[in-house]
Amino acid sequence: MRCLAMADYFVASGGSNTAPYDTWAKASTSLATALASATAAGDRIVIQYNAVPSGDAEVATDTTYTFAGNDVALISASNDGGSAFTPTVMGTANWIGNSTANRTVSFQGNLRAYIHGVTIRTAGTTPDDLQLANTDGAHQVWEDCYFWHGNKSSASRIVLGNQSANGQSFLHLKNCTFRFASTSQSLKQGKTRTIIEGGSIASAGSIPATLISIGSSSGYTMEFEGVDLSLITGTLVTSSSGNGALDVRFVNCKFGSGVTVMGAQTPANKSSARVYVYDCADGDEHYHFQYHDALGSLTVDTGIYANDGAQYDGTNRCSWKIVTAANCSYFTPFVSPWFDVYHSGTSAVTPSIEILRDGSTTAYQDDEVWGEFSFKGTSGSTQSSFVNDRKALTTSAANQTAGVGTSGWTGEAGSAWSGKLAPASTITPAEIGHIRGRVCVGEPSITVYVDPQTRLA
Amino acid sequence: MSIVSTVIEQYPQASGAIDVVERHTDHLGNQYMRMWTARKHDIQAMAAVHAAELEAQLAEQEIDEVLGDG
Repeated sequence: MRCLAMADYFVASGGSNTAPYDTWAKASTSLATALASATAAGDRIVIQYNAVPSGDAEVATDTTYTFAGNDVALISASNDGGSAFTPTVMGTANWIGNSTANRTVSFQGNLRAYIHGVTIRTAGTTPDDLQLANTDGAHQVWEDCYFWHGNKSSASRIVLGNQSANGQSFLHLKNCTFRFASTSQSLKQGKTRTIIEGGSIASAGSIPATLISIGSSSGYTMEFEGVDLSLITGTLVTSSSGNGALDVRFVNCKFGSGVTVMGAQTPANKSSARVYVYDCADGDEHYHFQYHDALGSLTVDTGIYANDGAQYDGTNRCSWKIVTAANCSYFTPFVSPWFDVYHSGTSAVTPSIEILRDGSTTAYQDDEVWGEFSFKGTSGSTQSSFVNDRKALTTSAANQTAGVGTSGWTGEAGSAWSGKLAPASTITPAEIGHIRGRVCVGEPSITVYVDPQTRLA
Repeated sequence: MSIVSTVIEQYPQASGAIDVVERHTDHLGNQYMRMWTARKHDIQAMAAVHAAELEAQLAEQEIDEVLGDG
């Protein structure tokens, strides 16, 4: 175990501002000074939650707070006398930043830092951002914090992570609250891996029409787990606008009624954003899975399903509904996520996927919809092999094989077509393991229902 | 950039909800797809709101492309 120095540096408006600031009585009256003093791993800056120095509660200029040591903590706490304290959140009664004037407030430093219970506040009407981890190499963990972006400019943002073209950063925001002052504001993702666990959007202030915008130097990933996003009823992820190939995952979050998960993407290809959704809904429904990219969207559909198809609750069945955008093609198709079936044998099998076209009896052709399968085809290796039933590059398109028939599906309209995606010949796994299937759709602006099971015959 | 047409597709679900797909087309022929789930929403009214929002977003994107910011 590493031995940590564990020096404490206190910050309070009532301190005597006497180095080394190791008691409440000698507390620094400047957060920046205490941050600069805390250079050893394990050091803690303890700021009195209800006695933030006036120079920090109402910063006079745009202010950057910089962590000076790795594994340093900034903790909002009560003054329990001597050097005793109890972690206590600032909430909406106290803050670092400014409550009336235009100031950018930024927390930086290319180091690992932990922040607990702090409220960061901005104000004013001309654009000033609230910035977190805006340094190349920053790693910041914020817990039980309140990001009060009170700046009313529609152009200002809560900026997540480093904004430089070649930067990288990490943000972990645990049980934090995000408050905005304009419906045009958003969380602006930079060059950062962002994890947001728990927490919510404040009902006070304004509710953004779009939650996540993608900065000019953006990319990497955002993961939302257990976040209450129910107040967002517009759009969760906006267009990339050519700024970054952002991946966003929402897991076990509460969504707003009528929310659009992902807006139309520019550029209209897979260099832009994509979004996965796992078990998120605006109500008491626990079967939702979604995948979105610029070429199309995939959602769970309970209105149309194969009679022997996938079940979402042990009783009721569902399909995956793929709706393609205008931008996919035979050469650049929409590609569904994989779904697996475990196969313990090494004899020849034929994998297949049942699909349905609703509203037309015309078969989909093998340049419009096809299946792709992977299996362990090499003895003594984990490497997978791939087969598909896509039209060959030099042949004419042909109808896909008929499936179980429309009587094998429920919920389709009067006219429909049932199809089966399967490789032309059997496959012979050389190793036990997962056989994977997925559906590719090259035809723009169509809908395909998929039974998300790889069937083996 | 203006939206000149909107096509709405509706997919009823077992819960009574409706999966809605809007396909908005701008005056250049570019198509923008939007997918959401309607509960008790006025789908036509929501689509009109979304079309207006899309117009604003496209205008903002044009500005961003000039300024290089998002």
